Order: sequence, then structure tokens, then C-alpha cells
Amino acid sequence: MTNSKKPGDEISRRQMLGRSATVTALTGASVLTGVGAGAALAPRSAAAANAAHVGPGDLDEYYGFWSSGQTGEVRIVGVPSMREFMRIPVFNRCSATGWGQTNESLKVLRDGMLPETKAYLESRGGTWTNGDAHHPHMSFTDGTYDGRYLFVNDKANTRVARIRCDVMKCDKMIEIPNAADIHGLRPQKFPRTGYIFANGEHRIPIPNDGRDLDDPTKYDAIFTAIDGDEMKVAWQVLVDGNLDNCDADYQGLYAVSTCYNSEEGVNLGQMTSNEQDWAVVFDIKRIEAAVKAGKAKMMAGVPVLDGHKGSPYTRYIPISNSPHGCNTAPDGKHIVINGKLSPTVSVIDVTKLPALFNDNADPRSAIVAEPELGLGPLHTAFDNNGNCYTTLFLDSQVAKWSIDKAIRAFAGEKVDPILDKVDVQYQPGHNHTSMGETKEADGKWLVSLNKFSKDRFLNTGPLKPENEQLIDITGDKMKIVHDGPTFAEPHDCIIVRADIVNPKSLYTRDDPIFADAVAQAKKDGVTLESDSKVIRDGNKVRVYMYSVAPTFSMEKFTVKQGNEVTLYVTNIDQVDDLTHGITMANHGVCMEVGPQATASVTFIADRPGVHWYYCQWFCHALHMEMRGRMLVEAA
Amino acid sequence: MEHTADAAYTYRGHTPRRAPGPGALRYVPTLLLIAVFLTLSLASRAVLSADLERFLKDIRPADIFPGADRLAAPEGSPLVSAAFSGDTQLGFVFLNSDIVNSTGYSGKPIHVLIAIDMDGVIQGVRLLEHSEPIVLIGIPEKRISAFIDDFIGLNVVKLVQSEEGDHDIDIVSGATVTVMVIDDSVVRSAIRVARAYGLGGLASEQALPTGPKASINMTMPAATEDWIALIGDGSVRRLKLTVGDVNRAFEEEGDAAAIERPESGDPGEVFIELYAALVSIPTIGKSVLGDGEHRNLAKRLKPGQQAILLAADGRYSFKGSGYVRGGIFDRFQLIQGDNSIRFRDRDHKRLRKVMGEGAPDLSEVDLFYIPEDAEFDGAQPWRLQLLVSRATGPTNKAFTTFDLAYLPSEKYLEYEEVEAPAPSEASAPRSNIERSVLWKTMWERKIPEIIVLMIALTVLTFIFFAQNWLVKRPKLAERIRIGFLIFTLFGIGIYAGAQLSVVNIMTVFSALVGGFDWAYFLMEPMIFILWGSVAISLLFWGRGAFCGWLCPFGALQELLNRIAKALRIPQYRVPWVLHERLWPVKYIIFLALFGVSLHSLTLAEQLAEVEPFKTAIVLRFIREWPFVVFALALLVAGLFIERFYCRYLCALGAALAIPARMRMFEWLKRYPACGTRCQRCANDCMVQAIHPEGHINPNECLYCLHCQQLYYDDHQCPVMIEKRLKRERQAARTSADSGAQIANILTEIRGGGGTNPGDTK
Repeated sequence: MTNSKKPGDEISRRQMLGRSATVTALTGASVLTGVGAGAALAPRSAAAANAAHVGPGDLDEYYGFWSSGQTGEVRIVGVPSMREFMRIPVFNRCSATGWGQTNESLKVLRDGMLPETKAYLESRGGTWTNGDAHHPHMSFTDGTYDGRYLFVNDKANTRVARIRCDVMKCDKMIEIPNAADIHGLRPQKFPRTGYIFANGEHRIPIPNDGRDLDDPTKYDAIFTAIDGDEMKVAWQVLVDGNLDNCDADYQGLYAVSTCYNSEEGVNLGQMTSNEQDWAVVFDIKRIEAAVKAGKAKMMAGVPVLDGHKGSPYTRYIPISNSPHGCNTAPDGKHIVINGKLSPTVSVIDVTKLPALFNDNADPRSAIVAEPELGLGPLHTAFDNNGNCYTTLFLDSQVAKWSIDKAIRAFAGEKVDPILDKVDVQYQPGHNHTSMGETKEADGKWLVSLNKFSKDRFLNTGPLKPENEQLIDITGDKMKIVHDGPTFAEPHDCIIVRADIVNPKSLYTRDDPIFADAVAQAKKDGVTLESDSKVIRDGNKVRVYMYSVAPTFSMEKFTVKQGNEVTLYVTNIDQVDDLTHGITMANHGVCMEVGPQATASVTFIADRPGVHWYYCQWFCHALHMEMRGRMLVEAA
Repeated sequence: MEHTADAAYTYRGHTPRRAPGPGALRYVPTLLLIAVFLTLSLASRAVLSADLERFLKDIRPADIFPGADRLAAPEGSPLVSAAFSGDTQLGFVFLNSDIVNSTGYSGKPIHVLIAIDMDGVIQGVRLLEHSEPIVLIGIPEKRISAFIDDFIGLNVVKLVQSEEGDHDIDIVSGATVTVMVIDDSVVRSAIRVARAYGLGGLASEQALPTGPKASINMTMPAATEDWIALIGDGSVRRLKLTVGDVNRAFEEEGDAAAIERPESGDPGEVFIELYAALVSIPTIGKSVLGDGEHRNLAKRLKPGQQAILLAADGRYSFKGSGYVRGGIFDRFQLIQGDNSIRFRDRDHKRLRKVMGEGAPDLSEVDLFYIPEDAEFDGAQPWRLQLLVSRATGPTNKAFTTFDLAYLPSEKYLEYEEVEAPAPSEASAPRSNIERSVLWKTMWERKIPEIIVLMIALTVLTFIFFAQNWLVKRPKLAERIRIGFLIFTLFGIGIYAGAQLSVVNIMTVFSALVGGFDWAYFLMEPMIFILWGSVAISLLFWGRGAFCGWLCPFGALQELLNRIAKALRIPQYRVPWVLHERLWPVKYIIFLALFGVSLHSLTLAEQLAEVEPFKTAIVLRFIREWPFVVFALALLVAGLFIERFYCRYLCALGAALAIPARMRMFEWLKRYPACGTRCQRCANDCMVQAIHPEGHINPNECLYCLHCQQLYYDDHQCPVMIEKRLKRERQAARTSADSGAQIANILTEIRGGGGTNPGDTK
């Protein structure tokens, strides 16, 4: 069978065009490769050094990875075109791909849950179907993205998930014990990831088993380091106050989290009453040594250290007032704490942190600048010239400011650190620059994730999209070049140079994602790639088939009413972008089967009669004919 | 201000100054307390709420009014509680939200209790209750309270009486709208109380003159006008500010921090070019919104509800992003009289573009529905006040304001009689104070028109004083006259709408009886100047100077008749006997109107529709068909009988003819032979103003100077012909029989045109 799409020379031409556009954009000169279509590109490429327009067939310069908030998924977006390429289901239940239904996804969703959660879910479908995905971050090696994994938190159900960037699928998910509602999440930048640092935002009694119900003084918040390779909790640290956002340094020595609830209050009035809250610094080497030395208490199976005030593992730096964002600058030296209710941001110099731990220096001695920027500073992004871009939520602006000038101003020099402000539409939360959270920040693009679009788009009714604005930061003045509507509601994103991310187009047959299916087939004596067999095992029926456009290898199979049927479908097409699917009509069953992948789904065949299964992922001119029958004999 | 404003006048409102002290901005609020325009009777204002009693329960008298020991039960309108020390009344205590709209961010009223003494000085202010989120979170309540304390000592009477009307308040960062609403509502409610109870000698708002009540004519079929026409007739008004304008405005404020941070760029670059239109007027709505959105608007608006379109281009947004926080647009407000209206996001719809042929492509196009409870009157003038802010620090801002004034065009209004006749032009009732401000601005606004009119009047004066020189050059005189009539019709009439009317006379008389106010009559500069010129010309030249030269409808008739003559339409000459008996009709009409006006000016104004001027000139025939038919009928009559309307029906002409008898000079020359031996001029006179016996009737003469051209014409006037022939004869040294001479002359005249043989000797 041949593929209806003909990607051959068309794709090579596209790649050529994309590359030539990139070259001219980078040099700003009309250096064109010798392809025939080069001339057509010249006007656009020459017009602007940082053109936002990516023409039809042209490739973006960056991958953008977007979380989706309460939608629960992660999205792949092209930057600067802001075209949405793909959605990766993570914490949500996905109708298209069968995520949350296939045996492969159920394994990911279930295995990492705590025993009590598994027990709770047993009578509730076995998995959570919602999630609140906030912060997607890529694994690092030596201070920059390495293209291995994305990590993302679920605030709703206290989980952290890992996405394999070679296939862009979630492969691991764990629930964090002893914590309530993971918010801030950032990978270790150096020497590699390594740890994923995760903040338990809400304070609870630990263990949370009904004790100390309404005694908030007994509640705790906990900081977690996850081993990103194993996706297991490495250690945890109890803290005063709470934990909001976090980041790691470029030295592999410290992690820093913001705290907006130093009051340890449980309502708005209590939580906002202190003029000063803090940022808490974790000394990773001390913590590792203590865990190794067995000083940690095992709680819910993980080592927990006491990091309350006065402990050797933490230092609390006073910051006003309810700080929120926490962002390490690419200079490797500074960490910016964003004031939220204070119009200021506070700049921590990481070289001053050892003195806090070793010499008990005044925690505020680590603050080297505290510029006033505007109302509601939430998050800060960076370029490669020592400039920072801070979102001002209340002012609906982004402020561009210089770290150097801010430090000089803090030292008493009369200098205004603010270089520019731009109005954004409206009320920005997170923002990110291209490669801005790595040492390879390049100062080209800034995305402002605005919480409200209001009247910015055609009215979609009372529920309106958010607005993610692309801002050109190559000039002295920031310039908004694109409005991007998004649905409920990306919190954060990262912008990664395209050469760093290198996904496959085909699965390899040894992919661990479907290792269980492979193992089961072996037991059943089935060759997944070439056999079409029905294995009957008591009430259980395992149906093995493969697909090649436009047919399933099995035209029909017969089961008895009440049988537990597991469909194993292997897509043996070896063509890029030839995903099949199988939908069992009137059974609520539907899944994606990627090229060279095996996928499986289990259901009870409880409805006697003829039931058609068909391919729901368009694959061929005869796609409609790609179907077969499940014959269910009445019991 | 040097910024340009066409179709709308602008001026800078009250502006902020930077005050010492961190975080605090000095802000001079933009309340024009006695706003440039006044709206409707305050008495008709619905009571918003009556919370005073509830709040007073928990207040000790001295806590709100220092020195008071007793507060009387709330009463009156506006609702107040009298404050006493023993038996002495100190003043009043009232709640802002009882008297004016004080809706804040939250959508709920901000309740502020205010104490005012008998001199109109605020003695106490307390923030009692509010639901403002900005105040609740992040900004300490004490800062708001501190700002409120600044009102103590504010003398609202002085504020009203000074044209500047500014006072300083602190802007609290992040609570701008809250602060504005508090400031606005405290000051406006205090003024209302001061007016209503005559505090500090402030004249209470007298029963406002009630004339015919204007409203938007919603039954008039909606037309589609192009952009130029909409701009031209003021349906769409524009405010254009350049970077230079805005920088100058801040420089004039003198706030050093603001001056240090000028807008960058070319001073000529557009800062904002803002357009406003009252789109609830059907023709305007249909023209600028397009059919689809106009239908949507019509569907959405409740009866009587109004909507405005604001559209702009340039680097400054009139919306900004402040409204996203609390849902209130904080960069502009609509002001009508002492009513100010802020818009919430739910009153707002963004549109794609301004429709209308020739409309510019604007970056912001927004529709705002005026809330039903806003007491906005679409038939009355209003202004849009634009707040321009400039960051003076990370969290500080300075402000200045600019105004765009809007007057709904007369042609979209209709009138309904209300009781109690009072001096009123057929326009808005306006109080004295507002008028005194308004008439100046009206003159400023019309400077170019005024200049052109003054030049025209000068030219006309020159024509009259040099008439003897001019009439000897009949071709030139003819051209000048045609030219002037064209100017009168199109310049004075169609463009400026400055058509005098008998209504003016009735209004003046009524005002003389009922209390004369110059400001009232100064509001229409063109009309005022024309009346001035008429008054002078009556003494010199009688009725004719106006009727023959400056009346647009007269010019229209005369020009049409000339075309008719050119097209050889037969002219009907009214027999003298009938003609003479038709003259008095106009006097009867005038006296009837005048008589009615003494009883009801409003009725007289309606009856004055016998004048086709409003239909033909002011409304350019865009009116209900009976009016149009009537005016056209008169014009058609004028095609056959020149100046038919002027001769027999014009009440204005009649009204002018009566005082014209005081005329002190006689400029029109006659020969003794005129009317005895010769009827040439009488026969040629376009309005048959020359009696058969030869004298010119000044009540009828339109001063066209035709008879004066003939007077010097040695080919048409027998006397002149005689002189010429004598001259020629002398030159030829010949003599002839004088009887034969006469015969020759008569022959010449007969050949030259239509003498009446029966009249000749």
C-alpha cells in the first residue's frame, strides 16, 4: 500500500526554504541559498531582522511548549508564527488519542499514584480525568535545554509529569507525597536535570489523614526534589510559610522559592497581612549530605528534612509583599524575585548565598537591587544583554529594565533602571523570552501570557480566550507583533531553539511505552507486526491485528457478550505522518496508533450484535473503507 | 490650545500637579462643575437611593460636623439632614450616593457622608461604605481616607463661581477610578446641595427656562451620509492632538516630573485623533456603523437610550488597559451639564471599522451604550473629556485633559411643546452661567465664519456707499449683485445656516419683557452679527439692505427667478390694484404671530413655520414632506412672480419694514419726471415697489439698485436720453423740434422694452 500523501521532495523544498529564511534573518543580510524560490523570500527577509511572519511552508525558528492550565495538556507551538502544532494530552482525558483509555496511558496515569489515591480512584474509573498544568520546563544539561524531556506540574491533583521529547508523549507521572497542590516547578540547570524542584503550595497537616483538621498551626508546606531520570521523589524539605514559584541557580548549589503566605494564614486577609514575606533558599549540597547521612525522616516512603527557620538547609530572605515569580537570569549570577503586591522586584546575587549559610550573614545581604517597576510585578524574563522583562499585572504592561542599572541604583547612584514599558492586552501573568531561562538566552522574542483578552478578538461569548502576545525585543523599544488567542488557560511556556528539539517521525519497535503489549504478545505467541489472532483466555479475549493504510489486518472477529476484550493494534506503516486509529463504534472506545507503534485498549463487549470498528485518523483515499466488524454473540 | 479641532472646539480641562511626597500625585480633577453645558432640570432627577437615615443612626453629629450636637431627620430634595448646634443651624449633612451616581469599580455605590456649612464650605467627609476591590486589596484604606480628608475646607460655592473650578486632590496609585468617582460624586453632590439650599448665596437653580422640549427624531428615515458630510455637519466630531500639543499641555501644568518625560517623536506626529458620534441618531448610526451593526444597535437600545461611537488612531489609546481591572473605562468620561458618565465594559462593544464612504481606517472603533439610568439627553450638547496620562515614575502618573464637544445637529431633532412659555430659542434651555461660558466658546469656534461674514458686510457697506459710482457700471453692478446673492445663499444660508427669522424678533421681544440676557443672544454669533447689521442698515437703507442682499431665502428666490427668466418662463405682473392689496398680508401675518407670541412663544414659533426658511435653508429640505411641499410651492410661485414670498407673505420683512420707517437717509435718486412722464423704473422693479406716481415705497423696496442703474442710463432713462441727445445735438450744432425729440425718445423707450402706452402722456 502506498501513502496518499507525498511528502518526498515537497518537504525537502520546505526545509530548504525554512533554512534560507533563517540564515537571512540571523545575518540581516540577503544571503540567500541558491534555491530557485530564494528570490521570493528576499523582500520579507530583508524587511526586518526579526520578522514575525512565517510564510506558508516555512518553518519556525523556535519550538514553544505551552501548558494549558485546567485543560490539563501541553501544547507545541511555533515561535514566532504562534501556530499551534500539537497537543500532548497529559493530565486530561483525550478523545482523539485515547489518552486516559488506552492501556499504555492508563499505566502512566496510574502507576505513579500514591496507594491512598489508587484506592480512592478504584471506584472512580481508576484515574483522574482533570489536571491543572501550569509550568512546562525542559530538562537541562550544563545550563541549557537538552531536548530530552519536558516536565510539567498538576496543581489540581498534586502531580508531576514527564514528556519524552523524542515522541512528544507523556511517559511518566508521579503524585507527590506529603504535599498539597504542586505549583512552582523548575528543573535543575547544572550540571544536568537531575532534580525537578517542585513546590507544595498549600499548607496541610502531614500526614493528611484527618488529624489537626482545623488547626492551621499544625499545617506544613513541603519542598520536593524529584529525580528526573527515575521520576521518583529524591527528598523533601519542610518549610515555614508556603511555596509559590521556584528556580534553580546555574551552579547546581541552590534552589530558591517564593513565599506569599509567611503568615501561614488560611484566608485572604491573613495571607496578605504581612508587609514582608520571603524567598526561601535551599542548600542542595547540605540537603544531599544530610539525606545520605540518614538525617532525614522517612515519611510516606520518602526522606524528609526539617527546613523550618533555623535549620542548616534553608535561609529565609525577607521580601515585600507576597512575592510571586522567581527567575534566574542567564548571567548565572542573579535571581529575580517578583513582588506582586509590592511594586518592586528584588534581585538576589547567588554569589552572596554561601555567606548566608556558612557565616550566618544577614539574609538581606544577598539582595543587590530592588527596583520599583510598576504595579503587580509577577514574572521576569531575560535577554542576552543583561536586560529583564517583567510583567506588571495591574498596569497591563511589560517593563524592560537593566539589572546593572538596578544594582547601581540600589547602591545609591541616581540612575533609572527602567528602559521601556509596553502596554499589553491585558494583564499579563507569566512571560518568557526565547531561550530566556537558559544561559543561551538570545534576546529575540518575548511572549507575554495575558490573562484576559476582553475585547481583543471577536466575541466568543462570556468565556473568552486568553491573549498571548509576541513581542519583538531586538530593538530599544519592545514591539508587539502578534496576538494569539488561547484556551483555558496556559500559565506558562518556554521557547526553545528548534535545533535542540529532535523528535522522531516513527516509533521504534522497542519503545518502552508499549513494552507491556509486546510482552503480552510474546506470552500469547503473537508477532505483533504480522499476526492477526484472537486469543481467548477464559472471559478475556485478546484481539491482535495490525494496520496498514487502508486496511486493518482483521476484517472481523467474534466475541461473546460479556467478554473483556483487549484490542492490540500495531501500525506497521513506515511513512511519516501516517497515524492510524481505531474506534469501536457505540462502545466509547477510540485510540491513536502512531506509525510503528502498538496501542491497546480494553473494554467489555456487553452489547450483542454487529459493531463496526473503523480508522478515525485520516490515512488514505480509502480511509472510509478501512473498517471491520466485531460480532458479539448474545450470551 | 494650539491643537487643531475641526467641527469641535476643544480646550484643556483641569490638570494635575505633582505634589511633594512619595506616591502621591496632585491631581486637579476634571470636573467642570458648572459644566459648559447644562442639562435638564435638577428637580426631575430621580432620587438614587435614600441611605442617609440608615447611616446617620451610627454617626454622632460631632463626628461628621464639628461642633454639631443634633442632626435633624433627613428630608427635602436633595435629601439632607440639617445640622444644629443648639438652635443654630450650622449646615447640612448628606450622602453623596443619595444625590448623584457614585458607582465605583465594584458596580456598587461608594457611600461618602458629607457635612457642608451655610457658606458652602465642606466641614466633614467620611467614607462610610464601599466594595472597591482595589481599596480592599493592596492599597491601605487609610490612604483613601487621607485623600478624602482633603475635601475638608473646600468651598464649593467658590468652586462654582470661579470659571477655573479646580481643586487639588491626591491620586492614590492603583485606585484611580475609585478616587475619581469619590471626587466627582462628593463635589457634585455638594454643589447640588449648595444650589438647592442657597448656601453661600449661591443662586438656586431657578426654574429653568422651558421652551419646546427637544428630542431626537427617531421617526425620520435614516439616510446614509458619507464621511465628509458627517464631519461637515458635525454628526461626527473630531479631536486631534499632536505630540507637541500634549507636551505643551504638560509643560503648562508645570509638573517637573511630567515635563522631564515628554512624548518622544516629531511634535507634529498624531498623538490621538479621536472621533465621536451620537450613533443613536438613526442617520448617523446607519452611516457610521453600517446596516448590520446599526440594526444590532437599534435592537439593543431601549426607547430613549443613546449610544456613542468613539473611534481613534494614533499612539494614545482612549481605552488604555485600566478598564480591564475593574471594568470601568478610566481614560474618558462623557459630561453633560453637571452629569458625568463613565462607561463600564459591559456598556461597550468593539467594532471592526467605521463605515461610511471615505471613512478613515482607525485602530480603535468602539461603541458605548449610555446606561439607561444615566439621565443623558441625546438632544442636548455634551462633551467627551479625554484624560491623558503620563507615567512620571514606576507607579506615578500625571494627567491632563482635553475636551471634544458635541452638539447634535438641529436637523435630527424634533420639538414638543411643554408648559410655561419662557424665553427660548428653538434650542436647549441653558442657564446663565453656562451660557456666559458657552457664548465665548461659540464665538471662538466660529472665528473663520465670523471673519468671512464681516468681510461680506464690509463689502456690502462699500457697495451701498459707492452705489452712485457702481450703478454707472451696470455690468459690474450686475455681476457683483449675482455674486453676492450666491454668497448669501450658499455661504450665509446653506453653509452657516444663518437665516434670520421672525422667530428671532419674537424671542427678543419676549426676552425684553421677561429679562434680557446678552449671553443668550450671543450664543449664535452669525445670527447676532447679522441682526446687528440689520439694526444699523434699517437706519440707513431700510428693510431692503437685509431683504435684498442678506436673506438666503430671498437670494434663493431671486436666483431661481433669474434662471426662470433665462428659460423664458413667462412672468406674471400682478395688476397694481391687486398688488397693493396683497402687500398688507405680510403685516397681518406678522402681527398675528406677534400677538400669539405674547400668549405663547412656543405656539408662535410653531406658527412661524409659515416661514419656509427653516425648511429650505437650515434643514436643506430634509424634513417631513408637508414642509417641503410648502417651501417648494413658494419657490415655484417665485418663478412666475418674482420674490412672491417677500412681497406678500414675509412676516420678517414686515417686521423689518415697520421700524424701517425710522430710516434717516434717502439714497435712491429720482427725477421729477419719474412717475409723471415715465414709468420705466416702476415697470422694471422686481418687486413692484415703485408707485405709479413715482415714489419708491421703502417698505417694499429690496434695494436691488436696479432703478439707480436706470437713473444713470442714457439709453434707457428718458431724462438721461434727453440729456444725451441734447449733448449730441449740441455737438452736431443742429436744432430740432422738442416735440419730435420727445417722440424720438418715446420710440426709443418702446423699442427698448415694455412701456405701458396708457401711462404715457
